[in-house]
Amino acid sequence: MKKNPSQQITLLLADWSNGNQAALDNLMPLVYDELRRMARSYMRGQSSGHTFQTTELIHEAYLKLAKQEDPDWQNRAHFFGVASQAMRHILVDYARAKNTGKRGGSAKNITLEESLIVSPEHSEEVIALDDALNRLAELDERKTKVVEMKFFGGLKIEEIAEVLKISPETVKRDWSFAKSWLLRELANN
Amino acid sequence: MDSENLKKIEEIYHHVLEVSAAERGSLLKKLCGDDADLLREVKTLLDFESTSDILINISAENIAAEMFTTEELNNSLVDQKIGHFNIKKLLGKGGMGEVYLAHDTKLDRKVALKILPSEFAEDSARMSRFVREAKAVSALNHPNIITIYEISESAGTHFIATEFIDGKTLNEYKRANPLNYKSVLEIAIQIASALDEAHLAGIIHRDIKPDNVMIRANGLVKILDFGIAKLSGRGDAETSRLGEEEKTLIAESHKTSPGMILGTANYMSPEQARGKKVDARSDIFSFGIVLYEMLADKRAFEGENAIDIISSILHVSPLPLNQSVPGIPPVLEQIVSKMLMKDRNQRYQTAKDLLFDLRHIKQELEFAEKVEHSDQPNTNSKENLRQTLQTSAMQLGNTTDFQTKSSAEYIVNNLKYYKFGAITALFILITISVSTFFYFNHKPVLTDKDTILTADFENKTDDSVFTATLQQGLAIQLGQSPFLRIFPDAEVKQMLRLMERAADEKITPEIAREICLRKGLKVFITGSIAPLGNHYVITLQAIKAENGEAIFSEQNEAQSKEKVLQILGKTASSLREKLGESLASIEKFDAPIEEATTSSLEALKAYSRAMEYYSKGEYNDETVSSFFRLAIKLDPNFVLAYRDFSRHQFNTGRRVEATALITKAFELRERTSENEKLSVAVIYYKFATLDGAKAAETGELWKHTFPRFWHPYHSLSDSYFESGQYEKAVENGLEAIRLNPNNAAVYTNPAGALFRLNRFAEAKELYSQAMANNLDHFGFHLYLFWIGFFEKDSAAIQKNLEWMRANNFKHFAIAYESQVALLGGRWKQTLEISSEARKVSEKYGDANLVHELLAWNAFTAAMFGDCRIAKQRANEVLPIAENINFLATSAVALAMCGEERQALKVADDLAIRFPRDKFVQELRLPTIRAAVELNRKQPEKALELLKSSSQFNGYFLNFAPYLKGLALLQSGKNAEAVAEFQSIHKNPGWFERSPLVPLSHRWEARSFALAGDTTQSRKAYEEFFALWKDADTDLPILIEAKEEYKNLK
Repeated sequence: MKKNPSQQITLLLADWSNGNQAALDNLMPLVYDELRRMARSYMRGQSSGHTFQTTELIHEAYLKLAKQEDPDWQNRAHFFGVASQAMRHILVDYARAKNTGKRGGSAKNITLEESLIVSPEHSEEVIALDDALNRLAELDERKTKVVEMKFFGGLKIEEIAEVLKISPETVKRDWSFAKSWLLRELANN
Repeated sequence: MDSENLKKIEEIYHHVLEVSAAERGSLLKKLCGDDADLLREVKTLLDFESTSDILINISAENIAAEMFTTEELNNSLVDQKIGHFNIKKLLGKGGMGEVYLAHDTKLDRKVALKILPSEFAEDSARMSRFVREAKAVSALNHPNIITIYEISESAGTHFIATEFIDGKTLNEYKRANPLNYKSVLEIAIQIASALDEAHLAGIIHRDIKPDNVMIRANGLVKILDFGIAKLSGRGDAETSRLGEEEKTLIAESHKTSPGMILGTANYMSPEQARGKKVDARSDIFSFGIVLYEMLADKRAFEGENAIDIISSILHVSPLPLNQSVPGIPPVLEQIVSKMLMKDRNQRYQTAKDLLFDLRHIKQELEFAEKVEHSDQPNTNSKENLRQTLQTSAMQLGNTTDFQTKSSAEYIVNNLKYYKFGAITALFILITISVSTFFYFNHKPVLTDKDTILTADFENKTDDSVFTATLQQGLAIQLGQSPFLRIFPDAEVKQMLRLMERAADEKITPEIAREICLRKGLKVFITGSIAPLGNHYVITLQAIKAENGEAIFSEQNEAQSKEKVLQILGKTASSLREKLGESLASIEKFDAPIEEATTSSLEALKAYSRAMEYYSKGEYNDETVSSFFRLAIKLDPNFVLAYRDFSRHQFNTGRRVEATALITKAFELRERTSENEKLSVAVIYYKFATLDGAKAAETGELWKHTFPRFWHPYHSLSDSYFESGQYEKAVENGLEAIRLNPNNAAVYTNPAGALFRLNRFAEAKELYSQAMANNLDHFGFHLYLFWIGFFEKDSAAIQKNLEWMRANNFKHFAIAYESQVALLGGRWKQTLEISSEARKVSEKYGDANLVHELLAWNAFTAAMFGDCRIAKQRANEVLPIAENINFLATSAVALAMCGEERQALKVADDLAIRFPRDKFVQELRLPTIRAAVELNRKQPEKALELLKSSSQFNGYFLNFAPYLKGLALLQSGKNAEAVAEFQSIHKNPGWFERSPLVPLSHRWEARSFALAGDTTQSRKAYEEFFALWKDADTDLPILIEAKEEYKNLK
């Protein structure tokens, strides 16, 4: 029997956390499709000017995907961590694809005016952040995890504390420091 | 840094954060001791601690949402329908919205559909500017400029449909097809040609870059997005103001998004980067960057980010091309450097000059190639050629006067000197015999009863300056002849319609012949220009329609481009003789062409373009003005350009400019042909000195000199209409119609005059005749509407309002509805509808109608006794209106409401501004002053002022008869007052659009009552009440009338 996307995503996440790298490759298009479907189902039949609502909707969809609940899953906290990490991969990968498309020959460069007037898409910054996170991981892996869960997974401080088995206070301190460190990295590059 | 270090840093970081901001500095120093590196590390991290609005604070789900939403928005239209277009796929996305491939279901063709962003479409000012610009661009007809099919809107989505170009962008093309000089030049020539055409039309591209250049598989280049860039940003005027802000923005974006690619910055001109006003030379710079890149395969100005690129554009000279392209011909390099001059005054000043140089360098390179590959290489000539290319490059490099010869001319001249033999072999030689008579019997071909048709002038050169220009020149030249009657353009268009061809179809000899056969014309004229080396050959032929044989053919050679017009004129003169015109007539009426028109081809070209737009009826189009301005700039003695620009300015209500222009034409009139001289004089008297009598007198002279030409009759009809001599207006107008039955404008005067004569049935008859000829004109529906109104024919009223709504005169339709309410005394409704009409007019960009409505409301409010509205509207319109009529009308309103000083101030201003304007001096000023006197209860003074106003009876917005009636009433001359008010309602044609007709009954009634004629008075009151049966009951003037009626004995 064919499983619904949500079930498939859960299964693939489990596979991936068990060390199956191919699972992530299968996971990505599923998540993209799900997010696109969300965006499209809302936007269809709507006139322009509803970007805000659409954003809200994808926002929710994203959180739902990132915080998959599955009764069969033994360690809920652990799963959160895995999902956050997956979301980081998914988003960065998507940003990279977008960016390549933009920079590649056929698609047009964004014009000066566009970049000034239209709110910039953050794909380049997402990529830069990913690079900075990788550098941070070399110095302090836990902080990278905190950022991954807080930023990419949208987890609360308490949830992160549960996953990492540290106090919420430590999570807060890690987040504060990692954020300053990353921002400085981003600004210097 | 290692993990250990990081731990230490983190520890101090958290410590410091725990204390208050004031204590942090000292604590930090204490904890770090003398470890400067540690101190710096912690300090810089702390600097970022409170940073907000940065990516990481946004959260990933928002970023995901943003990325996916944008993508979905882009694809959201695929498979949908917009109007008659089926959207197929997204082609790209730019500053001005997305571009889709779509299928036009109506015409079954592929189109590119550019969807405008909604926030942009909602900005009506920007939108109308955009539509105007897009219209101007769509009027460009050039093989290298993308064709705009449609600018439209469907269900709130605004879009532009353009030709779909199945090709590659310049960058893509470059990757697939390696370029060499020849192919670069082929592309560059097409780009320059497109720019030349657009610049001549006053359109600047503003965003020339490889992405906007498409190349089809067959090598045809198409430039996209002409003028559009302007609209994605801000208008010129604003740009300069925002220059600083933009720079800041650039700086900002640099700060937050390092490494971001800012596409357009790469192709900006220095003046664009500085936010200054751009002009044609800015496009030339951007094009220079593109050309440099094509040749060198690298950017002319490099930088890691927008700031660096812009700074390089502003301050750095690009690496000389010969360093990256060894062996590049120095002349080509010089061309590119001249395009890339930072100071625009040192660049090529026009795309035309550039085009000229590019074309010639291409020829030279081809020539060099030939020499290279010839069987018997002539080393000497090769050396000469090399030298030539070098020398001319130096000459170009040293030249500072850019109006002088272009570099290619040097090359050609030098080459001619060295290798004349080889050059001639290169050109396709056209064998010609000058002044050949194929067949000509010395019997006159035509009599003065005949009419000739001219086919479109054929331009066999690749220089577009001749296109349409020589056609215009020939028409003017032949138009000097009182003997020849040229088949009018409007009739040609009508015939095309009958032949089921497009109205703007080219009149080929075949089509010309068909028209002649259908209309029984004996002869048509064809003309052509062909290149002969760097000379030109001009050919005129007279062809017998009957058998298609040339009965006369003359060819003359022009030694240079500058001589072309002169030679055309000479050729035309001998043609006239051969067609049977007497030598005496030719002698008398044969101003040399350079005097009859201009000696500048470019000026004539600009003039032709202006006239083309002008005759399309696009009166509001700035394009018309810009072409006229260009024509005058190129030839400051160009009489016809002054004359027709003046006409255009009059038509668009710019009276002051128009007067100055026609005065200039009048001063220069001796330079032009007899025909044009008379036309200039007529217009001058008519509009500049407002001396109607002199205008009519000159018009009569014009008519007698050129009795076969329709224009004098039309002009006389207009003069007589203006001066209220309606019988004569009808008579001359009917003759104009006979001579040129297919020009809608010709009908408007005689029919309008019939309306003013209250001969409604005949007026209607004339309109039907015109419309049976497939002609249509706003004027027809205007008068038909009023006839319908006075004949109480509601179907006619609705029909004509409907026409206005359907034909882009919606604002007029609403305005007239308000007038109808006004005539019925429904004052509240009038105000409501006219405020709606003002809003719509603003949307249409019709300021004139807005002013008219305000002035009109002010005046009628004053008459109805609603002085609050009268003052409010008058004060609104006075500071903004230019039109004398509206200023005067508002002043009358103020005077009637007791605002004496203000009214007299307007009158004094007008008196000073228009000292010689008869209309102002003898009608407008006396009317304002009479209103003041009436308000002062000085009726005798008012009557004195209005003594000579009856000469203006029937004039637009003339209330003198009404004020005169009121003055007579005030001074107790009741019988005369009765006659005056009766003259108003007996001539409703004089007072269309005004409540003077119903009000005249009201005052007639009082005049009768005061004269003691109760029966007539009662009748008049009842007439008034009948007209105002649905009027607002609280209008002071109505209450007063009812009171008087009640008290009638």
